[in-house]
Amino acid sequence: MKLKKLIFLATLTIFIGLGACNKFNDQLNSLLNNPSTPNPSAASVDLYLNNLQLSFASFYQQASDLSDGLVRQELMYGPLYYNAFAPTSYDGIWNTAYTSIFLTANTMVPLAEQKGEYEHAAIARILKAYTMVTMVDLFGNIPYSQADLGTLNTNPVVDSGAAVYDSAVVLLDTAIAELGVASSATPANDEFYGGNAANWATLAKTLQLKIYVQTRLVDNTVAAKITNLINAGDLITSSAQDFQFGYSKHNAAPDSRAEHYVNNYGTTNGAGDYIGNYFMWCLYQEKPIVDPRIRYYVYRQIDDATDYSDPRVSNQTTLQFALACFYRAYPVNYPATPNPTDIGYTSTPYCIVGQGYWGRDHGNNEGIGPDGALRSTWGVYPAGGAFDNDQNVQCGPTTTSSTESGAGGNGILPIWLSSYTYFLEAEAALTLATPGDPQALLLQGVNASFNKVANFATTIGYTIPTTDTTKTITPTNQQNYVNTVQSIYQNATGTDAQLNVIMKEYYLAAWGNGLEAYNNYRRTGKPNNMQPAVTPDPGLFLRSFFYPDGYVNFNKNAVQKNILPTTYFPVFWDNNPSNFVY
Amino acid sequence: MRKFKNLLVGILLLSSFGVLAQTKPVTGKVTDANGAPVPGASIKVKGSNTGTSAGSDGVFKINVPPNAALIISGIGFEKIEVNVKNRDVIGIALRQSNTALTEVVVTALGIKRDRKALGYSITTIDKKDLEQRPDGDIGRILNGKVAGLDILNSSGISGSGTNIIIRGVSSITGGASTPLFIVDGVPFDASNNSLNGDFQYGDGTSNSSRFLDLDPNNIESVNVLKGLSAATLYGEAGRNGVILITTKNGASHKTNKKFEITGSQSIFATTISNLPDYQNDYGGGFDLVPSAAFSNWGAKFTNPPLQVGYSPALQAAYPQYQGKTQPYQAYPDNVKDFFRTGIFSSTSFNLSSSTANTTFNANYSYTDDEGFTPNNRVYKNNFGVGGTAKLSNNFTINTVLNFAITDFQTPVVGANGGGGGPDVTSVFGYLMFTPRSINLMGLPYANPVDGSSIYYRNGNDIENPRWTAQNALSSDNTYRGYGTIGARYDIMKGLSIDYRFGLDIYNELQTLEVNKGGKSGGPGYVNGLYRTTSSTNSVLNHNLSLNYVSNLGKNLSLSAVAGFDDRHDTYSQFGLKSTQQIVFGLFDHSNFISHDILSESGADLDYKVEEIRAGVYGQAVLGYKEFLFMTLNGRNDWVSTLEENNRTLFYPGISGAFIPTSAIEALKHSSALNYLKIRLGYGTSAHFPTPYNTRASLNLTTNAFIDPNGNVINTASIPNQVPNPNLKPELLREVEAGIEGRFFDNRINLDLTGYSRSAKNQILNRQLDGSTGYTSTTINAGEVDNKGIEMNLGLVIVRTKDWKWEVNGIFTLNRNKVENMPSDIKQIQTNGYGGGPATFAVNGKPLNILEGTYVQLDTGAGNHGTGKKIVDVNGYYLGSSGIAQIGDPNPDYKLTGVSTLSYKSFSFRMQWDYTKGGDVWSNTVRTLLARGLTKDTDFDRTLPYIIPNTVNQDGTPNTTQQSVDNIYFNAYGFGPASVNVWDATVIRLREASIAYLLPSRFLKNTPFGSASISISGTNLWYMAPNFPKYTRFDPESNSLGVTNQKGIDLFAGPSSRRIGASLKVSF
Repeated sequence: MKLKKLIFLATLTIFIGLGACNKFNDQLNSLLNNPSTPNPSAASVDLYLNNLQLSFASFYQQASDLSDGLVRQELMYGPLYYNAFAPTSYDGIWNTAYTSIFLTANTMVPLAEQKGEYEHAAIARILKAYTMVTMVDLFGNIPYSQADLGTLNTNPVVDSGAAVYDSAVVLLDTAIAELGVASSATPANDEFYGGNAANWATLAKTLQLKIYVQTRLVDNTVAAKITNLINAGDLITSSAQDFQFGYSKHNAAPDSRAEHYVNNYGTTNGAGDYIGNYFMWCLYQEKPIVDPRIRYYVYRQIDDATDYSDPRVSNQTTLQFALACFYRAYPVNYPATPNPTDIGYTSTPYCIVGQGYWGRDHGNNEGIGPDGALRSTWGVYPAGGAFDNDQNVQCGPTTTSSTESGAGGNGILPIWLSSYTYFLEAEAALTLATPGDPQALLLQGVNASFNKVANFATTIGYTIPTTDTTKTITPTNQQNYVNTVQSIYQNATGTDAQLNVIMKEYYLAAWGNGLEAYNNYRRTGKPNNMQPAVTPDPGLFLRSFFYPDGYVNFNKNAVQKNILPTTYFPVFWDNNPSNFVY
Repeated sequence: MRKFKNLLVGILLLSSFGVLAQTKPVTGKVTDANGAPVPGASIKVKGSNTGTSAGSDGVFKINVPPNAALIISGIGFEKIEVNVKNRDVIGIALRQSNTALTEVVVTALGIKRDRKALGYSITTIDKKDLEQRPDGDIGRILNGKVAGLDILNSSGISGSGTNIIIRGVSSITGGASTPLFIVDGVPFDASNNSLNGDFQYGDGTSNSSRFLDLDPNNIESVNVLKGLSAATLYGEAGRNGVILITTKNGASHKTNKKFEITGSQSIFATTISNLPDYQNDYGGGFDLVPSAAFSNWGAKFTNPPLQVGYSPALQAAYPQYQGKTQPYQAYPDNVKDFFRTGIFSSTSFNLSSSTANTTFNANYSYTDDEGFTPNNRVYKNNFGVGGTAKLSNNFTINTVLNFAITDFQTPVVGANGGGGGPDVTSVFGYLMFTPRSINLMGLPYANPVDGSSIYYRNGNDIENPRWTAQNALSSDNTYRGYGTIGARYDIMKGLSIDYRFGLDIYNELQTLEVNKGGKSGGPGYVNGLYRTTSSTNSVLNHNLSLNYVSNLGKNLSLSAVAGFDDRHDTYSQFGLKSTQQIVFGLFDHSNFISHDILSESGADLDYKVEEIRAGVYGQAVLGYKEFLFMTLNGRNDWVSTLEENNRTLFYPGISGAFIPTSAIEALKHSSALNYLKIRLGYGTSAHFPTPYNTRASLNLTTNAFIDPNGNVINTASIPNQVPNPNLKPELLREVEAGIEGRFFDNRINLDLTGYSRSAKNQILNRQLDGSTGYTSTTINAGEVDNKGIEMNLGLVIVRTKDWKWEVNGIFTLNRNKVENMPSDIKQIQTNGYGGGPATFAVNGKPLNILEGTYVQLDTGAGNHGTGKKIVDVNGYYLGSSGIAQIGDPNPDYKLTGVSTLSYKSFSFRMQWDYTKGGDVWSNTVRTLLARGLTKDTDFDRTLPYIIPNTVNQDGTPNTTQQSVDNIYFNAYGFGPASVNVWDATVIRLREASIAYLLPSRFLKNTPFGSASISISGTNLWYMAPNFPKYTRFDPESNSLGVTNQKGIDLFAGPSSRRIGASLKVSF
């Protein structure tokens, strides 16, 4: 009886079981897709392109941030070059390049072309090419031909930097051709040119100019190519064509403000960055006249660092702490022993510039003094901060009687400006005898930079808080400055000295773009009077960066650059001698 | 029936009258081998139904014929026969019975088996070792009580996560190896629901492990199934071992009385155990100049002291400080006084009753655990009921329902990467290295007008730890219900069918509240932050099994079980993070300006995960006579996390036990060898991946950017992980062999197990170099081998009438190794910072070795053969550009010694733990040294210093002098990571207690059935001899939280010490 019951139960179970099996499998299958993410087919070309643009802006900002300490636009903590640059710092930029820019472009271009969205495809190619070139500029040889293959190749080997440059030129040619074909749609969001295909083509050609000038030391065919480009006359030469990324004042979720604004105005703790003393000295002291761009470029939180009647200073300087360098001996390796408060000295800056330009010297890694509310910081251009109208108050997220928030962070990332084109053309004209007069091009570059800075407040809807013409850029003081540069150029004898003048002006115009200043410094060794590191022997200048940890730790074919070689791995276009720059 | 009973009694009475005439009274005393009385021993006259029982003093009196034989038995003693032989008074000494042969243990799926039949190791911890402990966390209570268990606190914060690892880590990237918790037969979620998924945000420290919801006072027993043989039936969830918990509600045991109430109350004081030994000769500053530096390299204190100003922020907020100065002097207790003495109080009641066919149990407990850090506390309310009922129609029903309300709060403990201060807000971040001259406790810490933080720095750019403790709080509120409903139907003798439904469901509300006005962590924190998440986790489990027990002939026995098991897990979370607080002190999303669905680390706050695991299993235990046993088991699983073709796996196991002392006649009554068992087992288990690794998807980011024209930019991106549709389950194999023995009249008790486990073809979440276009993929590759020894050795040193002294040693040794890593994988990072210190899996090396930057050695040719450390041009260590192995956090072995000494009703217990080896990179230690705080740096600081025994880059001896603070700061402190790796050997007095059980005669005229009182303490003393002496660092804390990795400390904070008393009474 019991046995029968048992057999019946078992049979029933088996039948129910078999029936349930299929249903059970279906249920398990239904749990394979992540309910929180969509299927890849949900992507549109426009959404990919948006990602590409934001990723590129982030990539370029990181590239600029890595480089600007080396060229003294901002502080490089040292004391030695290798101390200042841990390989960890490069994972972000590396991954942004390969996983966000290259991979997205590779995925998006065929999709766009299928739909006839040629403009989308061309933009993707241009941003990819720009990224490739920049990656070579930073790291030298990089994976390219074996890159972005996912698990098909988990250990890509490097390609030579020259080969990657060549590929970039080809990509740009393809993009230029593609921009000539009618596109079925314009991008929904074009953060750079508002969908203007012609401007993109101009950018592609300008980028080729940049590539050719960059490689002029190692490639004797570039002069002809540069000449062709200049003669074709389609290069970025007006501010309307400037290749820049614009930020907004939106302060959270998402924080869409310029990075240098967030770092320095984002909290009530004061500024987070230190500006390089050398850069401020170039603006303030080096020339017979103060550069009129200085109040746009730099905002002083305290107008006079040495004014002991100001409690912000006296409480601290009595402790010799906030500005310890002020009490220290002048570094032995500096060219002369100036009085730091002596505005006129022209050798090299130390500690502070003038009375209020409070930055840090190259390679100074001393503990951070409590000077967040005192050090000089980024101004209205390009970060969207404050115009320096002698407010004499600290920067912060809101404007009150005791804090200054400036424009609110709707600055720009100046990736390629018309002034840069002029300076490059000047360099090419001077060194390769390409079309154009070097001096005229130099002055065009200076004017383009001044116009850009002077008009900047208007373009972002910020009102310069003064009409005092001793503080703002005026046609008169702009012309005075141009005249000064002209006379300096005319007094410079020889190509090298003239190139130095061009590069100094390029350096000053490239505020907010550390990368181009770094490229120029390695290619030309100019400006030639950079502030030495405070340590007599800071080791060799980084002619390219270490490879990132992610690459070295996870790629079998990666070989890290050692700290102990005799030279710091110049990139392929830099054939300059070992101790060329410091 | 009743009539029949009465008749029987009548006959008995008559028969005893019949023999009465020939009897005489005999008095006797029953004792154990040491002469202690055996109360309640039963005395029967052989061949008759006459009998009596001994009183509480072991004495009995009985009338028997002069030549009668008495049969005397007592629970736990062997039955003996004594001939009266005309004596009037007889003394009877009983021998303890061999419990090893009769003990029954609960094994996988709640199946009860004779312990002797098991071919694998199971450790049982009884309630007496779990109750009335100064900790509400069952994980921490188990520390040192089970061989093979490695338990690590994430910090001394009350309620912080606890890491439990059994028999080593078998998985490279498979997430924390937390064992499976089975409570009253059904799965219980024991995860640590961190919201940032990133150790830097204090995961594990600011999140509890969910086994915190268990109340240790409500636990009847814990069985730890360590090996795969033991846990096979649980399927893949049991691969990390199983903690099998039977609650008092689920125990359904018969009570002595109809109704029993037990109550207990514990009170403990919680303090810090380990403050660094600070020097108090030098104060804050640098280069012997006093200042508001983070570092303590300022001037030497003088008498009278120098005068320094108050910080501008303080002067602005409190006019009474304006223009005043303060003495530059030591505040020796400035850090110590930050901490408080917390009170841990636990009250619990248990009520049980039983009748012939039913049992019932209910309990309630309340725990209030205040940590030593201000605003750190855990409140727990636990209550539950359970019972069984045996119905007349062969059905047995049992039900357990438990509820827990756990309310945990702590100031945020984020990681401190080592710069000036915490990378995220963190209460310990700035605290431990407070310069000696800072009057932390004597000056205000908040602005009375806007509530913002005020501290000593002139720029007011760091956060006052007192402000953090009041204004940056993380909390975790859990409402949980778990229980089981089961029914058994006895089909026929030996055959039954069992069904059990298990439910574990909780809602966890986590919040992070940071008031505006802080200074740490950037704009995301300082303008105010409020994050709330509500998550619901459910585990539904159905288990149907058929049990069969039979004797197959005279010498063979069989017990078998076959069944079906289905487990359905869902987790869903909803959350919102708001920033930019408007009104200080108010935490409501409407009081914040901007709202986001991403956590501080960028992790999505809204998501859901669902997973189904189903299996069929079978087990058969064959016994031959009473000395040879074999267990066969197997399970086949189907899971929802793999594609159809790969989603099933069968894994078998076999184990055997042989008992020579039962098999070999000559050994049967040996007093030197009382019991010996040899066992051998082979077990397998599976590992299935987490959901959603096989299908491609897309990442959409809405609201990624707002452009200058106000356009909202949304983006699509390709996920960084390459999906792998061919992913397969992972099979783990383990062989274990063991010996159990009792020697010399049971004075020595040995349980020795050796095991070797290998997890091949790991489900490996491998990182990819970004240049592949992706940063990770999941593949089947690599192997982790764990080999180890677990030994439990008990010695009864003294065993007399009043005295008993037992010493128990627990030894755990585990060696693991990563093998067979495919040639295209360089290494796998398992935790930590990319540039080091980080933990890695490297082929041929132990799992989770520490890598980091290191000091370059002079090992080249020619002049460069000194092998010494190289310094750079400034005389500081020359670091490396890459990283390499700088340590191995895996300890060599662990040893626990427990001494229990009892005298009459007193017992004194001590537990010492010793961990040998294992490396730790400690940010706490390096910062204390780099900033000149501890007595390790209390030397003449005016003399210049050269790092000894170093060479320049050209191989010549280093002669570069530097100031001592520069050397400590740049070379010893913040130089290459290898400089700050220390050996974590530690010896600790983990527990000491004195307990007193009130003798029953004291309670005779009271309502109490029993009463006991104990005084105990935990973590009373420790020493880590290989750390710098005065840092007094406790290596048993882990900033990596509840993970498989350890060896990185980022200001996890001090550990706790608890001292107190508890009282337990029953009615």
